[in-house]
Amino acid sequence: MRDESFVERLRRNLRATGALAYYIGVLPMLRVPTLLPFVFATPFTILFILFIAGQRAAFAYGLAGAITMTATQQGLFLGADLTSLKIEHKFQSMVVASPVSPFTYMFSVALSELAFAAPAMAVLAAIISYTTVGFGLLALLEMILVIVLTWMMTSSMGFFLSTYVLNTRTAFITVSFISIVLSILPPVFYPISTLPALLRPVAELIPTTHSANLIRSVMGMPLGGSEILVSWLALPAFTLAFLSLALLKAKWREP
Amino acid sequence: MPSPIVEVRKLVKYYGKSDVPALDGLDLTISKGKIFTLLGRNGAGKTTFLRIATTQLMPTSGYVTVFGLNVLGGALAIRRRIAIAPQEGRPLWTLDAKDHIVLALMMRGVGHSEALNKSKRVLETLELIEVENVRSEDLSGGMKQRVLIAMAIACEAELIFLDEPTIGLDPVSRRKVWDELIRLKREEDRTIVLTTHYMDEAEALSDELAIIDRGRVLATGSPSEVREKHLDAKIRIDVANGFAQEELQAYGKVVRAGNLLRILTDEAKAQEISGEALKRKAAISISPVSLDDVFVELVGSDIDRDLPANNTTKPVKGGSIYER
Repeated sequence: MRDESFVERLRRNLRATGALAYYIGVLPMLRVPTLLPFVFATPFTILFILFIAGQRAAFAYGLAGAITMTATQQGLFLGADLTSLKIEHKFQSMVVASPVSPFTYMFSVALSELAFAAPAMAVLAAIISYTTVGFGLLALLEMILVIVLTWMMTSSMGFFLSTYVLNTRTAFITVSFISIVLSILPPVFYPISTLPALLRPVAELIPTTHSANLIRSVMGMPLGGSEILVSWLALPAFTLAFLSLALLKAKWREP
Repeated sequence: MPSPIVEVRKLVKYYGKSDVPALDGLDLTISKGKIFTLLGRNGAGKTTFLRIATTQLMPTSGYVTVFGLNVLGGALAIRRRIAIAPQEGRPLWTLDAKDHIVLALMMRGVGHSEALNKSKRVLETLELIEVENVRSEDLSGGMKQRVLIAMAIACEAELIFLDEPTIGLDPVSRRKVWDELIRLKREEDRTIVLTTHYMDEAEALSDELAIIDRGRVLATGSPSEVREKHLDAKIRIDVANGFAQEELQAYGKVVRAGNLLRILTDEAKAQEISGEALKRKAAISISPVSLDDVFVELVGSDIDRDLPANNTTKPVKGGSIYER
């Protein structure tokens, strides 16, 4: 069999990406739309509590938190879904024994997760644009970039996790735990300044702190200039680190 | 002599810290354009071998080449030319039969309209066309299994691995699958490696087969070669009544097969016992020996054998996905 040219390989990878994202994410969403509320459930519940119990400022923090949490959760759900595809369906066996690369597989299924999150994201973005004065196209693009970086980072975590976990139940429990650690405990729904000084450096080590910071800056909420710069450096760095971990240390072929 | 497409030499596999090898020096040669069957009990090492040959699992030692490429270094090139239907796979519940096949084809770079056309033919062949738009959650177990087989055979892979493909299929569906595998071999010169513990399936499909147990090859060759080489007896007699086990021992080797006493013997002894059975009005049936008898002879006698000694080979550590 002759070697593939670059163009053939690119075309094959694009088709594989499109097919995996469509058949694993978009089509199930269209066929079973009742699955969508599960994506909305947690972030919108927290947002609702902040809306009822808090003031206007708390609601704004809630919006930034909800959008960060949705992006985070969808990336992490990838870990649980890939584990199910591997263990329950043996689908990953078929994929490994095919020309689909691990990156293509991870990216495609992660896209399918993003498709599921898209309606929730759209609702949140609409609320933000309605409630934020001067929220323009540039702010929207910035917000999309933060969402994409957060989704790529947590998807890498999810993919890495799925290649090590041996059963679906463990995967779901682990993902739920990491989701709490990344999106409820750290200053995602509240400002870092409300944390005791001792805990702030710890919070800075959690990537989603920076995601939430950047969403808040897009929404025009008060943040120090250096804080924004640190977050713009930290979030891509965390994303790159977790992407490298997924690509270099995930177990695609089992030892 | 057809050229080998898969060669396996001294293949050893230990899982994790286990002292018991899943494969223990396996040697095999699989020829191009043939149907090759791996026969063995549960846990014999069939799936482990398939997973190594399909580049999903690293061996501990020994080597496997597929299309002349080592599975360790040539995985990327091998994966473009193989397909697998894994054991106990399950279709995705929100997709229908056609979606699965189109997905399997598009994953390999086939365009959407071409994938749709190809899926039609496979769906017709495996009698899934009537349920092409039915979601897999609503399909019967046998249909689900056929969807997985269809995904593997729809891809125009030169070498197809099927891990216990007909488990759960009714006899008619099994025949359909057999017919399609034989057609793929004859008309498209594809090589098929399948695992099974159905003797009739091995007998009906295999050009060559290997009986493996505890990770070792016990017999290999065509079904007739294996029968002739590993069993002296040519005739099998099943005795339902009229004889005591002790008196049957005079006619050949006697084994119990459910409620029957089975004698493995030669033609002269078969004539003798059939005469005696007529006199006694005893129910017996006479047939040539089958793979089933060889299998029981080779594997059945091995059941109580001690497990292999502790392994001395250190397991190979898995590397990054870039070793793919």
